[in-house]
Amino acid sequence: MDLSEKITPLQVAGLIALLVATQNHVFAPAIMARFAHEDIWISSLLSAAGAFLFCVYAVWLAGQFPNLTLIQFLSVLLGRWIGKAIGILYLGYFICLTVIYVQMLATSFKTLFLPMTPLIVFVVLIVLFCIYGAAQGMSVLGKMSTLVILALLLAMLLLIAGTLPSVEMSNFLPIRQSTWFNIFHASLFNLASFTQSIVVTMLFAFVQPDKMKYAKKYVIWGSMLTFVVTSLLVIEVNGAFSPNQLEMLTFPTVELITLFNFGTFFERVESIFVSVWGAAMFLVIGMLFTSCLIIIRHLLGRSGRSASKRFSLLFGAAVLLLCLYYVPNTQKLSYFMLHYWTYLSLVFQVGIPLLLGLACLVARGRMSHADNTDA
Amino acid sequence: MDNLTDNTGGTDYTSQLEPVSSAIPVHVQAAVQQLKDGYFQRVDDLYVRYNNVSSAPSALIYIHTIVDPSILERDLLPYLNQAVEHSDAGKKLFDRLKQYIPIGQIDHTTDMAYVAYMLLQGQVVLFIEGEANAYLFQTKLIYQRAIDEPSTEPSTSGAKEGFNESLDTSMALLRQRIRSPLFKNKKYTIGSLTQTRVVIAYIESVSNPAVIKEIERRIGSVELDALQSSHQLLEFIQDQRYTLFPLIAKTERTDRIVQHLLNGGFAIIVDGTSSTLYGPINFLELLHAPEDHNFSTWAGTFFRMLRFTAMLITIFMPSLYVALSSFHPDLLPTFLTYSIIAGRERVPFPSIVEVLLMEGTFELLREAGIRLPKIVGSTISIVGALVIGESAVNAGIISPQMVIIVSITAICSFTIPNYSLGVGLRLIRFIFIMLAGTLGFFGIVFCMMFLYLHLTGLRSVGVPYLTPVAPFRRKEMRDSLLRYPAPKLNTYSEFLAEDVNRLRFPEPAPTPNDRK
Repeated sequence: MDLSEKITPLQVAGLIALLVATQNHVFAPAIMARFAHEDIWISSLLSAAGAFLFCVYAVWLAGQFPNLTLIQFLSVLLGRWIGKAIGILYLGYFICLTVIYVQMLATSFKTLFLPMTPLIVFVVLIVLFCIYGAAQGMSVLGKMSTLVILALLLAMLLLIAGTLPSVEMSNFLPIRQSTWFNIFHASLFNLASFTQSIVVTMLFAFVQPDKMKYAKKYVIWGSMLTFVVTSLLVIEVNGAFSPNQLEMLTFPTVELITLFNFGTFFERVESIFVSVWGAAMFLVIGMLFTSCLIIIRHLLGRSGRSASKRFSLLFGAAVLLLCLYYVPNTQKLSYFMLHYWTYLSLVFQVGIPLLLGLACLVARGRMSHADNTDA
Repeated sequence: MDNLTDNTGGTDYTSQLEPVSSAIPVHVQAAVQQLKDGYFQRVDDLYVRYNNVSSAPSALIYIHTIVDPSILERDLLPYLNQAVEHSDAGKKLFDRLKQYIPIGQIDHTTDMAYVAYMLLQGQVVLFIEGEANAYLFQTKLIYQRAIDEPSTEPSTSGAKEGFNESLDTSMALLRQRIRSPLFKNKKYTIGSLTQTRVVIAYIESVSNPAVIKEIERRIGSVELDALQSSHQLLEFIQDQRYTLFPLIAKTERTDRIVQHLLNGGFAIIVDGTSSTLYGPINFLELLHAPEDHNFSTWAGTFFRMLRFTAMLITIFMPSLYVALSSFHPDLLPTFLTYSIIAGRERVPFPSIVEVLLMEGTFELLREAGIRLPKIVGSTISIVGALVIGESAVNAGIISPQMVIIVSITAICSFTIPNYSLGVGLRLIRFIFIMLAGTLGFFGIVFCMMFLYLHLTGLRSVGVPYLTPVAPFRRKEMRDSLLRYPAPKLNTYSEFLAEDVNRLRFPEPAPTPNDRK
C-alpha cells in the first residue's frame, strides 16, 4: 500500500473491469426477472448505458485530484472534519463491499460444490489471501489483473457463444410487457454492480501523473467492454430461461453454464467456469481489502509506507467475523444484496460522488472568481 | 635508500587475519620469527629457505602445498642469487628483481599482515637483510579439472563447454566469447577463513547501472567466515529468502551466461564452484534452453510452449486428478468416470492418500537414484518405478490411473531446464494436492491465485519476476514464451538494459538480398 508504488493505466483498467465483471450476473438476473419479466434485456441495456455515463463521470472526478485517493481529496474538498466523516462512511461502504464479495465467493463454492465444508474454511482462506495481497501492495494486484480479466472475459464470451443455441426468442417476448417504472427498477440491480467503478477514485492515485490521460481512456473503454459483455450474459440468461424459471434460480449464470456442452467430451463444465470466476473474485477481494487498509491509514492521517502486518491481520480478523455473523449463508447474502445493498450502494456510488462533483465545480468557480477579483 | 610506496592495494587484511598487522623488521631472522609467531604457529607446511651465500642474507618463505614447485625451481631460485647479490636497496632492488626474475607478478609490501595473506594465496615471500620490505612472487599452484560438458545441463546442439571450479578458467571462457573492452569484472574476497574470490561480470553500456550497483552493494555487504559455494552466496544476496523459486539462477553452461550478459544481465563467479550465478532473471526465462536459438523460430517456440505446458502439468495434474475424482466427477466424460471408478474399486484409500503415497515414493526413488553410484542409481530408479508401481497396482494399494498420472507428472518435471525451479515446483505440487484433496477446485483456485500473487510480488535484483507477463511488456514477449526470428530480436529488456531505446542492430534488419 505504498503510494510511491505505481501501476500502469492498463492495470487500473484491469482492476476496475474485474470489479465490474464479477458481480452483476451472479444474483441480479433472478430479481430483475421479478420486476422486468421478459424485458430484462431492456433493463440490462439501460443499466449499461447509464453505467457508461457514470464511468465517464467517475473518471472525471478522480482526475480532478491526481495523486490523491478518494479519502484524501474528501478532506481537500470539504474540509478536514466533514471530509473525515464522509471518509468514515466510505470506509463502512468498502468494508461492506469486501464482506459481500468474500461471502459471495465462499457461499458460491460451498453451495455449488462443497456443501459439507464449513463456511469458515473458505472465509479463512480468502482472508489469508487478502492479507498476503495487502502485504504485496496494490501494484502487485494491478499487475495480476491484466491476465485475470483477460481469462474472465474470454470465459464469459465462450459461455455466451456456447449457450447461444439454448436461447429462445420467445423468452424476450412480448416486448414492453412491464411498466417503465419496473424496467428502471430492475435496471438498478445491474447498475449497483456497474457503478462500483467509483473505486477508480481510490486507484487513480497509484497511476503515474504523465500516464493519467491513458488511464482515463483505458478505464472508460475497458469498463465499456465489460458492461457490454456482462450485459450480454444477463440477456443470454434472460433468453435461456423464462422469467418464471429465472425468478426461482439462486445462481442463474451457473444454471446457464449447465447448458454449455463442449462436444461430447465435457458434459458438465460449471466447475471450470466457476473456478475462473473464483480466481477473478480472489483478486477483486484482495483489491477491496487493500483499499480498506489504505482508507484507514488515510483517515488516521498516515500516507506512504505500507501498513504493518499486525494491522492487516487485525483487519482480516474483523472481516472474518463480519462474514461469519453478518451474512452467514447464500439466502441471507442474496436477500441483503438485493433488498438493501442495491439502494444503499447507489448512495455511495452515485449520490455522494455527484455531490462531490458539484462541490468540486463550486470550489473551482470560487477559485476562479477569487483570481479574477485579485486581478 | 630509495623509498618504495607500499603496494597492498588498500585492502583491509587485518580484518581477515589475526593478530593485527605490524611493520616488517629489517633483520631476516626477526622478520621470519615474527611471521611464524604472529600467523603461522603449528603450520608445518610453511617452508623457510635461508640464503647466506650472496652478499645480502635473505629468506625465502612459502607454503609448499599451494606453491607450484616447477615455477619455484625453474623461474625463481636460479635467478635469485644473481638478483640480490648487489648491494641495491629499495626501489633499485625491486627493479632489479623484476629485471632478473622471469615471473610475471612480482610485488612488495611493508605490511606483515599482507605478507601472511599473500602466503595463503600461494605466493613466495622474500625477506632481505636490511630491508623493511618483503618481496612477493606469484607461484600459485592451480589444481583444476578439464573443461567438459556439464553433466546436469546437457546440450543437444549448443556449446559443449562448461565452467569448472577455477575462477580464472571461468573468466577465460567468458573472455574468449566476449572480446570487448566493455566486458567488465569486479573482484571481491569473501570469507575471513576461506578468502574465496568472487567476481561480478557484466557488459558496460548494455547492463543497467542501477542493477549492477545494487548487486555490488549486496555482495559488498556479505560478511561471513567461509564461502564455500555459489549457492551459499546466493542466499545472502537474493531479494527474498523464504521463497521456493530461484531469484538468481545458477548454471554451468558458458553459452547461457554469455547470452545473459549480452542481454544486459550480470554473472557472479565464485572460485571453487562450477555453478555460476546469473541475474536478474524472470520466471519464463527459467524455461528457456540456449538451444532454443539453434532451431527454427517455430521449433524454438514449440519447445518453449512444450516446457511451459509440462510445467503446468507438473503442478496441476495430480491435484486435478484428486479434485476431479473426489469432488467433481461430473466434469469428466461418463465413460472415463466409470473407468476411474472401476480402477479404484479395490483401492482402500481416498485418492489424496493414493496420490501422496505414489508421489512420496517417487520422490524417494528419485533421491535414492541421485545418491547411489551412477550405474546402480539408474537401475534402482527404473526397477523401483516399474516393480513398485506394478506391485502396488496388483496389491490394490493404488489404481492403474494413478501410475499413469504420477509417471506423466514425473516425465514433465524432467523437462524443466532449471533444476532449482524443478525442485520448487515439486514441493508446490504437494501443497496443491493437499488443498485439492480437502477443498476440490476451490483449493486449486486458492493455491493458484496465491502462487500467482507470490510470483507477481517477487523480484530478482529489483526486476519483476513475472515480467513480461505481469507487468505486461508486449515487445519482450518476443523472446519469452515465444521465440521470434533473430532479426526481430533487436531490442533490450526494459528492466535489464541501460538504454531500452538502444537497438542491438538496425530495424528492420537487412535481408540477405538487401545486403547485395
